[in-house]
Amino acid sequence: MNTKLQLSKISTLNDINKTEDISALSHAIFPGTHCPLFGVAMIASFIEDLVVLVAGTQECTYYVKNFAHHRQKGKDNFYSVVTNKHDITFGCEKKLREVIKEIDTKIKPNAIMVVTTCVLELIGEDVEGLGRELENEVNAKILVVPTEHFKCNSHIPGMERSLEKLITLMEKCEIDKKAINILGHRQSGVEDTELMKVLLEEGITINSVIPSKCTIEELKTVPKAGLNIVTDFIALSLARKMEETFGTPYVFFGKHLSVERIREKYSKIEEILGISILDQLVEKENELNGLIETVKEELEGKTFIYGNTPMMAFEVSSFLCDLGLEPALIQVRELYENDDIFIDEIKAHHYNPYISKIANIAPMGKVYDTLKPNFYIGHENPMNLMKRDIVQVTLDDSTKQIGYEVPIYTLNKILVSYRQQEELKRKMTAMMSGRGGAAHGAV
Amino acid sequence: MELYKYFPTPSDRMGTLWTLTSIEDVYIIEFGPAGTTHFAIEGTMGLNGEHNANVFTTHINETDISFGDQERLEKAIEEIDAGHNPKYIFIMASSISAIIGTDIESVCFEMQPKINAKLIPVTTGGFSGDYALGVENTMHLLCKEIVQETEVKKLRSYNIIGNNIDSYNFLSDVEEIKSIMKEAFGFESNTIFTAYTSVDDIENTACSEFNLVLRGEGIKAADYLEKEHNLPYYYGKPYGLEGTMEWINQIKEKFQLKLDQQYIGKQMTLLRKYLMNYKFMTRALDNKKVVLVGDYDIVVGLASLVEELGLEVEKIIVKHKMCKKIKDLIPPRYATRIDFDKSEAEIEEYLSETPVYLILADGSTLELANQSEISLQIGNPNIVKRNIYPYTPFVGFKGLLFMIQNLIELENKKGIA
Repeated sequence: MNTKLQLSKISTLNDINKTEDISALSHAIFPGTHCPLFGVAMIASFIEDLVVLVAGTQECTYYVKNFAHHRQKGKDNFYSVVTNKHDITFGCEKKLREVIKEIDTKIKPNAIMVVTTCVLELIGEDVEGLGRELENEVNAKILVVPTEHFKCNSHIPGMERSLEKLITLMEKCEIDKKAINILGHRQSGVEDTELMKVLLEEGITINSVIPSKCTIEELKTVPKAGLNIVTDFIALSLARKMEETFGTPYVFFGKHLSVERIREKYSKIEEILGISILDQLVEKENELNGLIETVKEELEGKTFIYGNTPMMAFEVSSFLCDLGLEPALIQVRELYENDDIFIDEIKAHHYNPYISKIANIAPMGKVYDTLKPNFYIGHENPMNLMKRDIVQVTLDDSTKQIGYEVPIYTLNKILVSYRQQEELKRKMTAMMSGRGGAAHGAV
Repeated sequence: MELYKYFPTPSDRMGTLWTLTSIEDVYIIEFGPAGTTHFAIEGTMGLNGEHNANVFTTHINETDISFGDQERLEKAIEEIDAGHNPKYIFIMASSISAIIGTDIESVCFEMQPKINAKLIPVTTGGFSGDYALGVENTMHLLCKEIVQETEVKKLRSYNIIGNNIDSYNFLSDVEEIKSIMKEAFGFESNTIFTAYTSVDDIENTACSEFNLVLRGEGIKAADYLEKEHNLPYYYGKPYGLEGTMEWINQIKEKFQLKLDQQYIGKQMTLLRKYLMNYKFMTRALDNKKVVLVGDYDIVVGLASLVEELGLEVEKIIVKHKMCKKIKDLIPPRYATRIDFDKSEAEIEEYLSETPVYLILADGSTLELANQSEISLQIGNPNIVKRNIYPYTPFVGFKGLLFMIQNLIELENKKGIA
C-alpha cells in the first residue's frame, strides 16, 4: 500500500479535537491494543490476598492466567471459570454462584474480584446483581469488574475499574495527617522513589500503596491517610471517589517531565502536609537542568516518532519539543484530561505531526521510510528500526520512579541510546573500510 | 463452566491459531476484539514457538455488534490483499463474532471475486472443542485448501505431519526424527506441518514419497492426502530404544526402504550401556511408579520409554479429548491405566493421594499438590522453561539418552535441599 495514501488517511495534530478524530493507519491492525482484562491483571494481581475469578472463554482465562502468573512470579491468585456453549445459550448464573461459593468455602478469601469478559457481557449476564445477592450468602466481599473490549479501545478501563472497586473495602478511619497513600503505583519498592525518600525524611509515613503493596485487611484503613498522591492517571477516579466518600484530598503527581510541573507538584504536597521538601531537591533539579542543556546541544533538530511509554503521549512529546526535537508522528490511545494543555504546547512550537492510533505497528515500516525519523520512542521490533538507522528508546523503568528522577532517567536513556548507535555506526564504518578491529576478535 | 486454579484446557480456536502462526507467509485476519489477537500473539511466545505468520485484528465495537456490521472485516481483507499480495488469507471468527452469528463463510464467498488471494474461512469461535480438535481441523484444512497436485516427485523425501508449536519439545523432536530418517534411510524431509514451514512448502507437500504422522491429530490430514494425492502414511512417534526400533522397522516395511544397519548397530550399542547403567542405579528403589500427564502421543510414548527403563506406569492422564479412531489405537496394556480430559481438581486430588517416584507432566500440573519424589516437564502450559536449543529431544535414540541423563540427575539431586 502506498505510504502517502496511508498518511493522508490520518489526521494531523491541528485536526484533533476529540478521540474520534484519531484514526488507525490501517483497517487490518497488528497487534492491536490490550483489553481491559489485561488491565485488571496489571492491578489486581498485586493484591496479595485478593482472589480474582475470571469468567470467560478458554482464551481469555488461559492467557490472563499466563500473564498474572509470570508477573507475580507464581504467586498470583487468579482463578478461571470457563464458559461453554451451554452457558452462552442458557446463562451461567447458577454455575457462577456455585463457583463463588466453592472459593468462599475452600479458600476463605477476604474478597473475591469477579471479572466478566466479553462473552458474559455480550449475553447480558447480570453478574453485578449476582454479586450483590451473594454478599449475604458468602463471607468474602464480592467486587464485580466487567472487562468487555467491544466498548472501549484499550486496557485502561480495566485498570481504572479494578482500582475504583477497591473503595468498597475501605472503612472510615481517624485521620493521620502525617500519613499518605500512593495510588496507582504498579511496581515494588516505592520507598526507593525520590518522592518517598524526601517525604520519609520529613517524617511522613506511607499508609498504603495501591495496588503494589496492600492486602484486603490493609485496604480497610486506607482512608486513614491525610493525603492521596496519585502517581498514575489510572488511579484518578479512585482518588476522586475517596475525596467524595472520605474527604481525602489528592495531588496528581504523574510521570511529569518538565521542571516546572514537578516543582509545582512538590509545592502542592508541601502545602497540604505542612512540610518543606523542595530544598532537599535542589541538586536533582540542577542535574536535570544540566541534562536538558546537554540534550539540547546534542539533539536539536532531530525528529522522532512517539510509539508508547508508561507516560502520557502528548506530555512526553511536548517535553521533547521543548528540547528542540521535532515530532513526525505521535501514536496515541485516546485523548485524556490535560492533553489539551500538552497539545497547545506542541502547537506553540509550530509543529503539526501526524497522529495515529497506538498498537498498530504493521504499517509502520513504510511510514519510517517516508518520515525518516531519527528516534522511535517505544516498543517495536528493534531490527525494523536498526536497519533504517532509527534510534530506539524504551522507557519502561520510569514506572518505578516519581519526581525529577523520571525526566533524568528519560534524558539519560535518550542520550545513551543515541550515543550507542552512533558508536556502533562508527565501528561498522571502520570495519567495512578495513580499519580497526582487535586481534583475535577480542576486545 | 468449571473452576481452574491454573490453566484451563485451551480451546479449538487456540489450537487453530497455534497451528497457523508458525507458517511463514500465512495471513490471518481476525474479526473480533483486538485484545483477543494481542493475547494470542503473546501466548504463542509462551509456548516457545516462533510467530511467523502475519496476524491482524479488525477490532470490533458495540455498533458492529448491534447492527451486524462487517465493514471493518471487508476493508481489512481488501487492504491486506492489495498491500501484501498474499496467496491465501485465513478469515477467522472470534468468540464474539461467532456468538453474534457473523457468517464468515458468506463474507469470504461474497468478497472472493474482488480479491486476488484465496480466502479461507475459519468459523470456530472456540466453543467446538479443545486445542487438539483445532490442531486436527487446521492441518486438514491446510491440506484441503493449499496442497497442490504435482507431477514432479522429490525422490527420497517425506513429510512430517503433526510437529506443531503446541507440542512441548517440538523443536528438538523434529531434529531427531530428521536425523534418524537421514542416517537410517537416507531420506530428507520436505514439508513439516506446521513448525516451521511456509505456504510454498505446504503447496509442495504432494511431491514427497510418504507422510510420517507424529500425533493422532494428523491422521485426518494424512487420510486426505492419501486419498487425494496418493501419499501413503505411517502414524507413530519413536520413544525409547524398543519403540524407536519398532518405528524404524515399521517404516522400513511399509515403504520398502533400505536400512543402514551399521548406524543402527552403533546406536544400539551406546544405548544398551546407558540403559543398563540406569537400571542398575534404580534397582533398589522401593517405589518405581510413574504418572504421566499431557498430550496423548507424548505421554503414551514416554510411558513405554519409562517401562523400558524398569519403572512402572501407574497412570496416564491425557489432557484433551480424543476421537474414537485414536482411542481404538491405545496399546491394550495401558487401557485400564489411561484417563482422558480430567479436571484440574480431579488431577490434583489423584496426585496428592498417590505416592509415586516420578511425574512426567506439563508445567501447570507440576504446580499442583502431589506426592512424587522427582518430576520433569514434558508438556505445555509452560511456566518457566525456555526451549530454544534444538538438540534435546525426547524421541529417538538421542531422546532416550537425554531422558536417561535427566532422570539420573534428578535421582542424584533427590534429597539435596
